[in-house]
Order: sequence, then C-alpha cells, then structure tokens
Amino acid sequence: MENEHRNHDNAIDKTLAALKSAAPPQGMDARILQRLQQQPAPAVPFRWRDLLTGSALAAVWWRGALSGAVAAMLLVGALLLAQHTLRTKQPAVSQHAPAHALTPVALPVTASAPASAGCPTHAQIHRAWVGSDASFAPSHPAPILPLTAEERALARLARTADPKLLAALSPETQARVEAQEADNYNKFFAPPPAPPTTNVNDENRTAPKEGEQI
Amino acid sequence: MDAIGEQSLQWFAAERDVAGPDLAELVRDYSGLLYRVALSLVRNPAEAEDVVQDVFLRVLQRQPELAAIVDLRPWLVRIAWNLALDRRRRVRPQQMDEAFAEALVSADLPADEALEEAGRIRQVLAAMERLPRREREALLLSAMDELTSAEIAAVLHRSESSVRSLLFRARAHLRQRLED
Repeated sequence: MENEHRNHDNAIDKTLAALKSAAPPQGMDARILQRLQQQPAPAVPFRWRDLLTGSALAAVWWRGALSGAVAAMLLVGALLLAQHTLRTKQPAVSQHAPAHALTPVALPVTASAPASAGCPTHAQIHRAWVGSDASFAPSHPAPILPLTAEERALARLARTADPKLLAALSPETQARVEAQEADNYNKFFAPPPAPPTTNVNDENRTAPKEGEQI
Repeated sequence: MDAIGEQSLQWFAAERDVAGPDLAELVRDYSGLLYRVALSLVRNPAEAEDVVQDVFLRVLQRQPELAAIVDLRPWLVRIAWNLALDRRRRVRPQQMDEAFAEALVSADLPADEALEEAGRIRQVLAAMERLPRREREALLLSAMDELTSAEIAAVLHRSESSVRSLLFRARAHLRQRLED
C-alpha cells in the first residue's frame, strides 16, 4: 500500500517535473520578435504633460513656441507700461508749451530728504514745477474745443436738411416767407370783384317787360 | 540566433528610448516561462507558442504603460494564463494527452521504459483534469520553479495561505484519484 502510494507520488512529481522542464520550440523567440516587428507601432495616448517634458520633436517645438509667446507678451507689456509712464509724466497744461518748458527741473536734494528716501513726494514735484520756467512761460490761447452735441446737430442739419427748413432758422427769412404765404392766402380767398355800376332807369327803358308786345 | 532575430533585436533596441523596458529583452527573459505556463494548460506546443506570441502582442499594444508596471513577471504570467485558459476552451487538451505525454518523456530512456513512463504521465494528466479547477490551476502553476507562492497567489487572485492550502488538497486529491 505504502509502495503504491510512493509510486503515485513519484508519478505526480515526474509529471510536474516534465512540465517544468519543457523546452520551447527552436527559434520561438525569433518568430515572436519577427511577428512583433510586423505589428504597427502602438498609438501613444496624448498627454499635455508630454508636451512640456517630452524629448520628441513636437514637444521641443511646442516648448519653443510657448517660450516665444511668453517673451512676446512680456515685451508688449513692457512697451505698454513705458508708454503709459511717459504719458502720465507730461502735464496737461504743457501740451502747447514750448519744448524747453517741458524739461523737468532736477529736484533739489536737501538734508531733510535723504537719498535713501528714493522717490520724491508729490509736494516736491509740485514745487519744482511751479518754480521752473514752465510757470513763467507766455500764455497761449486755449485749444479749440470740440463741438458740442447741439453744434454737431446743427452742422449735420446744414449739410442734409431741406432749404425751406433751413430758411426757417433765420428770423428775417421766416418773416418774409410768412408774409408771402399770407399774401397768397389773401389772393386766393379775396372776395369777388364788385359788378360794374349801371343806371337803373336806363335799364328799365331798354329791357322789354315780360308780356310786352314789341 | 539567425539573421531575422538579430534584425529584430536591433529594431527593438532602437525602440528602447521611446517607452519603458526593451521588448526584445522581455521576449528573451520570459518566453520560456510563459511557454511552459501555456503548455501546462493547452498541452500542445504549437498552441502554447501562439499563446506566448499573443502575450507579447498585448505587451506591444500596452508598451507606453510598461514603465508603470512594478513587477513584470506575475503580470506577464497572468496574461499568458488568461490567454491559455481562453484557448483551452477551444482545443480540448484531453485529446492531446497521448502525444503530449510522449513529448514529456525524456529522450534518454529506452523505448520500453519511455512507453511505460508516458503511460504514467498520461494517467496523472487525466487525473489532473478531474481535479477541481482551483486546485488544478494551483498545482500546474506550482510546477513552474520560477514562480514564488506570492506570484502564484497574484496570478490566481488568492492569498498565499489559500494557495498553499489548495496545493496540499490538490496533491491529496490527485493521489486519491490515481489510486481509484
């Protein structure tokens, strides 16, 4: 019995050992590799992260384009800021002032205003401008102001409206037009002219009476 | 290795930079193990080779994800195991037991001993087929020396203690069936 038991165990072990030691067919690796080579390359799923970190040509191009766009935006921003700064430095009253009046005067550095303070205060700037040539420059007439809304409406009317309507705007023309219209009215509704006056006796004499034998 | 193999190795070496581990190295390192795993289920060398090929085709399709896989061996064995189970439903391995048993016998044995040995192996294989599925699978995977009990547990989706218990019962049941 025990011998039979051992025989079965041996048979099981031999079968498992045979399964364990089964050798793959000759050239299997090469065949598999050849088959894999014939397969199309797998589609790589798109990830935004690869565009920023990958080493492929598309990723490099993308990074370059992004850097260029950022640099261009920074440059435009700097230019706009510089323009804005220049505009705010020009005071409104000096638009028609001579060029020499526009040059700001160097601020006097006093002992009370140490260099470490950096930016001058508004009061200092105001004093510097008031004390400079700009305040003594000859005055100029104010610039021509733009038309008001009513003036613009009148100008538009003068270009496009009916002459009659335009004439109504002048009191003299208006009076003349009204007088003419009144005259026309009177002419139209005037009473009929009176019949010519004749002598009653003459008429009686000449006109035969009704039933009278001629 | 022949010229095609060399060419394939070069091609896969060029692909190495694109994604994760080298596929040619994977084929070289794991094809033998995967072949034995598949053969233990389908019992036909040609079918087992097809299973191994299918495994690496799946790997190629998922190559971008390979770098994220921590332990490749149980992952590959699980793919081979599932593909072999699928194929086993079609090929009916019991019909191949005779040729398979003869192929498993050592070529060094004399003809009469080889015949006797093949008969014993055929008996064991037939008894294995009558085992409960979980016990049979645990027994077949335990035949692969390269796999630890933890890896077998990972392939079968069981705990290690459960796998040990399955192995013990499988051997006992197998012995019992051989005695019958």
